[in-house]
Amino acid sequence: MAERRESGSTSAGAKRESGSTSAGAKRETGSASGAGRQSRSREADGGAPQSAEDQVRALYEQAESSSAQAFEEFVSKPSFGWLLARSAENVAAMSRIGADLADIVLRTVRIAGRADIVRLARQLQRNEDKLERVLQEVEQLRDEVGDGEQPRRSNGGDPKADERVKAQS
Amino acid sequence: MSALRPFVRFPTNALEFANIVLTTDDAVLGATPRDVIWTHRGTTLYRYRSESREYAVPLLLVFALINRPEIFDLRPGGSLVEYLVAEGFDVFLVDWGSPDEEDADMGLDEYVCDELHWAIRETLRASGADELSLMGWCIGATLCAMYCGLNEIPPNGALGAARVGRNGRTHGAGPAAIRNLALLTMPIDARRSRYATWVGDPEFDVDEVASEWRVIPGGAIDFANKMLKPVTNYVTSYRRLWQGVQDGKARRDAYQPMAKWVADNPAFPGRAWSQWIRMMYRDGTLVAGRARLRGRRVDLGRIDQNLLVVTAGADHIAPRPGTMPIFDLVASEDVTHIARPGGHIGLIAGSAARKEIWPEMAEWLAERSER
Repeated sequence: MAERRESGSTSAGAKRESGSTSAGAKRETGSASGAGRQSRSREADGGAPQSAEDQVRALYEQAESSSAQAFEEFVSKPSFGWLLARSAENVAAMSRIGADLADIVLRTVRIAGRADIVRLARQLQRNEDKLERVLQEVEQLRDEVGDGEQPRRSNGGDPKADERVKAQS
Repeated sequence: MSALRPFVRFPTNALEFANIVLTTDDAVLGATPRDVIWTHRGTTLYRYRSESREYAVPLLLVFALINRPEIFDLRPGGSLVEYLVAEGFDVFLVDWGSPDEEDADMGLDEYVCDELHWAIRETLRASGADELSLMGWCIGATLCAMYCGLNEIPPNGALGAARVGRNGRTHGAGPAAIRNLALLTMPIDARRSRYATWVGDPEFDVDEVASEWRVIPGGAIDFANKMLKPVTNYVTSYRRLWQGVQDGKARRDAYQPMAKWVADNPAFPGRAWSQWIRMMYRDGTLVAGRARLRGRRVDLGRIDQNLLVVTAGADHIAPRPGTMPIFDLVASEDVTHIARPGGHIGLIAGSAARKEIWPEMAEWLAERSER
């Protein structure tokens, strides 16, 4: 059973992939040199010669494409990763020191700081967690007692939406 | 004379370009009418209004933790939600909100076992259905796969495991209530990605950064994402816009919503970020079947739902090779893989998606959403 579905899915996937890969390759080459390639082909076909603007655009795009590739290679290096990681650690540490300092200053003048607000918010969240659990228990009991009763919102929501659900079912 | 034209038109082009860039924030995202069904902490469950629901199985959309879910509903005429609603689906969306320091203790456990689990429960309750389709994108897809990889959802604290009501309704949700699972550009093993080169160094103290920052700022996540392709993200996108303005082909209605969405990054709760880095880029525990949520093993081999996997050939955030192991792990009998060229986001939300991939996704869902 499992083998059948694997082969089926793999072949389907392979079919689609092969189709898409060629399309992807086409797109990638198309976008790599963009307008320049188009203009060159126009000339080769004996069409109108490139304007100065087209030539400048093609040159710029070629330069941009090369630099994009170079930068991508650069950011792929472990040394860049190390640089980014160290910078992230330092920025995080500095922002923590700054935040703690600001909190100390505010507390000294008896004003609630960010840390106090976070503590209060966490207390509210704990209460909300408990309320959610109570609501779920109540809903569960209501479902068990009132057999066939329509489901209701546990909180929030638009009463009209519920009416629509009722009407549909 | 034609050589002078670009110079003559430069001032008006520059004004137009600046206007498009500077008024990006005015773009309206998520315009499809919707109702709030349920809220918990920062999480909100929405249901999209529809007068023509044809399919019995509702669809729940789940997006990543590092961007806003409005990408599902980017702009009128270019909205996946709008498309799915018009196709007759009962569409729900879970929005993780914008975490702040008070949410620093939110881990992947909380997102999968509480927020997602409860959102599924409320979706079933609101729709009156016994089963639903789950569609995740990016990290959202990984969270959905983790959910389906649990044999039961471990409770947090006093609340018992989900129960089935006496009337037989599985309002308690759980992996068994997922009929269809659609995973869009999902990373499950990113140990060979560019990200892994950056955060894989054992000297990089992930826990210290998570504890210092408490929540990883959205700007830092955005910077890291953009640095994967620095020239493309910082230069090419503006150059293309400028070129569009010059050629008179710039589409403000297409550029602005995407640019606004890209720049809107909620913070990543420190604990969840630390778990994500370890699971995905360092230890590869998810793909190895060693990942645990609240002590329960996440085994992707338990996924037996109808499965749709969409991968993008030019995806640098969740490269295709990092998704492919899913096919060797799942137990699903019905597996479909849509492999296309395109980027991580552009494949599903790009201007061509409406014609190229949405119909295929909708068809796959429709065939599996009858009662």
